[in-house]
Amino acid sequence: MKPSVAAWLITALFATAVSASVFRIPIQVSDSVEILEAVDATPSVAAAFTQGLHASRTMLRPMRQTVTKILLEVAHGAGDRFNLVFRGFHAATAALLIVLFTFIAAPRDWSGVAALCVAMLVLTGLHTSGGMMREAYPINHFLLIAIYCLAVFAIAGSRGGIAADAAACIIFVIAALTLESGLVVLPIVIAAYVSGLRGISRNALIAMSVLAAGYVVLRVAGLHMVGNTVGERQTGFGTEMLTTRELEARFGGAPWLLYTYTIVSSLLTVPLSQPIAGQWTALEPWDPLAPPLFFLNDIGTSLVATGVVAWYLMRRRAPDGRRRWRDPAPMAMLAALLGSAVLSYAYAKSEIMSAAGVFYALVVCLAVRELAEVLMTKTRPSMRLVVVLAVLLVSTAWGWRAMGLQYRLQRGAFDARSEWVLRMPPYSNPPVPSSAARLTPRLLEEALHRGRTNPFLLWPPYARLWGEN
Amino acid sequence: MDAARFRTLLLAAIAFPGVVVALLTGLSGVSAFVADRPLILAPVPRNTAEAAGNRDVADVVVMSEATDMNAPAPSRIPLRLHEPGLLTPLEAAVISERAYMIRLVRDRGARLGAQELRTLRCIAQARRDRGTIAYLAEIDSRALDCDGVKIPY
Repeated sequence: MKPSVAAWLITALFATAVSASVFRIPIQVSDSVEILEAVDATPSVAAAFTQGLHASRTMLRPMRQTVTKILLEVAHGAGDRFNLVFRGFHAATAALLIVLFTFIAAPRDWSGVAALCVAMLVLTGLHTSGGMMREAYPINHFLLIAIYCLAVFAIAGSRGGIAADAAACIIFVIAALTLESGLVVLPIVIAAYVSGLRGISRNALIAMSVLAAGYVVLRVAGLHMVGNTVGERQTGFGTEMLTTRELEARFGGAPWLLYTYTIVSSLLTVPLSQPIAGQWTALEPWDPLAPPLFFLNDIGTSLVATGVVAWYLMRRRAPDGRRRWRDPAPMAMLAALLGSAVLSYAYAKSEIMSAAGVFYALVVCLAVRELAEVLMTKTRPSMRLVVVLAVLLVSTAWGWRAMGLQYRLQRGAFDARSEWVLRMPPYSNPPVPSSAARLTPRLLEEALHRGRTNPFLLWPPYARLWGEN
Repeated sequence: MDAARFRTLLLAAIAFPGVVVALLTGLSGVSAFVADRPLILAPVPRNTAEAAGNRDVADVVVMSEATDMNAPAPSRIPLRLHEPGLLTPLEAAVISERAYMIRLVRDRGARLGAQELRTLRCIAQARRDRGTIAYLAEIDSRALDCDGVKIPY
């Protein structure tokens, strides 16, 4: 078997695993039903886009409404099979992300395939990937942004041309209008260019910069939108998760303090797996009868992976002696990290850092491959067994984290299904008044009859090792 | 260990956990796509009592359409019980320590007579769960006497 065939087999298995679990999650009540009903009431895709322009004072995300409208039309055409279409789209994008990842990592030898195996564990096991794969609003915009980021990076590594430039510009516009985090596409393209990739030309970079300026003009001057401020959403600070009122009381007079903390927290969360949403959860008092071993696993595995990445970044590459951190993938990772962290200034959220997490996994892939080559030639015979066992221990620990994603996706299906009972009458007020709920009865019927699973039937300590109380 | 063997073992050590996870979850994913039944990490309740004991409101709703809501059944509730017990859906709902579950099971057709209510209150008392104790006390606020009541687990 050729290494490339093995790499794609592994990729296909991971893509099947994640997309199958994503596909089973029913469309959620929260963050989905209201949007679905509102968008379904619009007469056309263009009207849905326009509605998205004016849906919020702080969020400019018209592409969310646009894609939702398109999928709704497809679902109506398929006989009102909403879950099939929306979850099919979600599953397909999850698979696409994993396929794009391997396409960019491009392992050519067995060392590369072995490194890809670890990188897949990092990609799926990192805490920033959980929400990225699981949530939907009703389309998963964080997953889409990660795909857009990988796509422009892949284009930057291509031979280029007018088509490549046009594709990059179109992707940037779509990303920026899908979610504010989509703006991170621009720093990634700039990083790719600075590191030497020429698949996206200088002219395209200028065009994208003009488009970014146009985005700001549209937001501020055209739509009179404002940025997020202190107290709009809860976020972590130190070991606490602060409510919106607590945030206003504590940081209303000095927002820069919270913003600085949140940006630094977001920068740290990808390489350290802490803090989570700004909160240093690992520093909370531990129950001596049930020590949260998952913290040790999460932080320990991240420290090792980040150590290997740091070692790799400081190495010099063979042809010209340039430090590795100036290579395309590391530069893109740094750009995604910094760009995403700055965009999350007002509140920390793991999903906002998910694109940075994807590039982190990509650099882990490159670093592990190089480390394997170095270990093969430089390990003393007396240390070989120790090295093999140590490597097996670390990669197994990452394997446990990756299994945690499967657990969380099954848990997501359980929670989403339960919402359709507990967040509906007679147990709660409906998300949409019954007079306006044209899709809700069908969505309810679909949700109750798909994705049966109950994580509480698992032996509890397993769940605890994945962070479940 | 010679260099060639070390090379092979090192690559195997790096790749092995990833390959295992890929096979386990990938094949489970194929099963999920084909039969809506993942092979791992996705257990399902076998009866309404088990659903009620494990907070599965959706399965209670679905199963209640074709089941006797007062019949006891062997129920696994790993979060609360060390061993499976023979429980009615209402008893399992109290053991789940979720008041909304008691309400849901009643709404779906379970009878709550005086004797059943006393048993449920005694289960809640034994579990010292404030939420279910308060919920059941709203239905019957008389002083509770659990002498002679058999806790079914």
